[in-house]
Amino acid sequence: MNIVLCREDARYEAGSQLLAEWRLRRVALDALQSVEVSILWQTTGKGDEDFSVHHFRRYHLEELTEIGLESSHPVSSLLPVTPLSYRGHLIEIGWLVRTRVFMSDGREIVAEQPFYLVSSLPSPRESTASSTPDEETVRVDDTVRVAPRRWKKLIANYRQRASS
Amino acid sequence: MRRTWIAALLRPYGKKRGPHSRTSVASGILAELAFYAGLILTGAFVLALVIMARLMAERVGIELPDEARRVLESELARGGDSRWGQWIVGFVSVAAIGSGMAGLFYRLNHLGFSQERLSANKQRILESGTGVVKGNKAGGSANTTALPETSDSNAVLQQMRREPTVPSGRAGDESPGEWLAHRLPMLQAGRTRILGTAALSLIWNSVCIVLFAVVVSGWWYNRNRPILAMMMLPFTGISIWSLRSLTAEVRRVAGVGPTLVEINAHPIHPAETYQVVVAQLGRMRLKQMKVSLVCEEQSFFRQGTDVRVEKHLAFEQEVLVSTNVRVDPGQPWKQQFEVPIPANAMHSFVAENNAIRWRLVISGEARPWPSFCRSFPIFVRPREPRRGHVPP
Repeated sequence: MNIVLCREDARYEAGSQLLAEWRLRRVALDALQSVEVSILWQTTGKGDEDFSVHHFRRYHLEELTEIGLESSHPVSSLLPVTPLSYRGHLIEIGWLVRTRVFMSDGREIVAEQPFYLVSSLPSPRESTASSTPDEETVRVDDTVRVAPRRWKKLIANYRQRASS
Repeated sequence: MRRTWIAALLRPYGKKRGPHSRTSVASGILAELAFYAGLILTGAFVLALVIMARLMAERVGIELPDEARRVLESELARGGDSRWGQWIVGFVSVAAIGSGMAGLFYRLNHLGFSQERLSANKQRILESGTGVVKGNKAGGSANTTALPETSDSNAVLQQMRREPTVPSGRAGDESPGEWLAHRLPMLQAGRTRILGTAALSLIWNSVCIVLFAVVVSGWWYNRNRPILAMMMLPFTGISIWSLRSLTAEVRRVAGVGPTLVEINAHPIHPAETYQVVVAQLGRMRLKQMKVSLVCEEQSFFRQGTDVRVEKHLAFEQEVLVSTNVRVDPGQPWKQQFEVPIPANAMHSFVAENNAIRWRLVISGEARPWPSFCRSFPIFVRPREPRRGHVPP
């Protein structure tokens, strides 16, 4: 399963439109029960987790049969103004596109694609003139850490599948 | 692996280890189902007992064994000695059955729902209650929850301006200012502490007076109590200490005159500069008066049955420092100054378990009065989104 965002830097301005695509591969249609696609924010850190779903769509088997699994399927949503992505000492606020696949044998497979909701994006001139991001992106963005996280999740999913 | 799963299932309370919770979701659901089932069974048992005791036992005319008769004649089945007792017990048991069945139905109906689906359903219910309509895709499928994607720019802008998790910025006790547009309310802190100190001092001193009276009366009637008289020395020491603590608390809270803080606009936005007026009333000499802009992260987490809070100062900026401040009743200390809000400031954020709060902190170092520190919460809203902006 893969989720592709319309922006390579995964950075979206508050109140802008998010476009993404999700695709399932190497899964037979009769092995599926349903698929849920959601856009949500969640907190991580010392405190108990808070989360809220901004966009949610559930595809039943009939709908999946109708749209097919060969091609990518779009997800589109107008993002809210808040909460902005934040990386603090006790609290982290992160946005993500999450796809949850319910298999007919009762298993659930989850794939996530994090992205950043920022108050404003640097204009194209600014971004070409200077390769260093502004103060805010330094604070809220941390693309370096995303890759290991995704790898960890992939490995965990693979181990779960292998053990089951 | 298996042992861990069983241990997690049997653990009666949750515990958080870093970002991970040690309690499984399944154990929570099972406990909830067991609770509702128990409620239904208990309610049904008590109701059956009441019905049997009131209606059936006398009319059927069957010779019941002694054990059964004893149960039917128990206080619970008779509802005590009052006239309406049986009705009250019957009503409570029906309520228990009803609430148990409703809970069980809700839980079973949502069994297998993902947390995203539950959250989306909850939001749909909340928003239908507040009149905010969320658009469904063509076909009116109940599976889709999305923001309305309409061409009406006003509606989109209005929708965009919805700022979930940002406090509205209008505290109930905020009032118009005298010098600037808004007077900020003070965070009431330390009131419970002074109440606790006062209660401790009052109780301890009352006990000491009674004991002192016993010692004096013993001496008067030639029944000396030397041990109690000796004990009075440390007791009196504690009594003096508690009175001194109470006096210090009262001086800290009531001795320092009121502090007034006014701002020209509220809520505030990052990368803007605001005019602030701080006025200190009363009569005192201060070695130093400091005004700081502070951002604090707060995290609430459950540890067993306790709810704990952890705080971290994420940002602190001194905006004004004055030394040798003199405050007189006819001439309060008043300063007007600018407070720049950083461009990368995070907006105020309040969720169920986490919060990011901004406030202006006024602290004074005084002699002979104790030093004081007062907080005035302010709400930071995010910058306005660019209208009509389409990402590349």
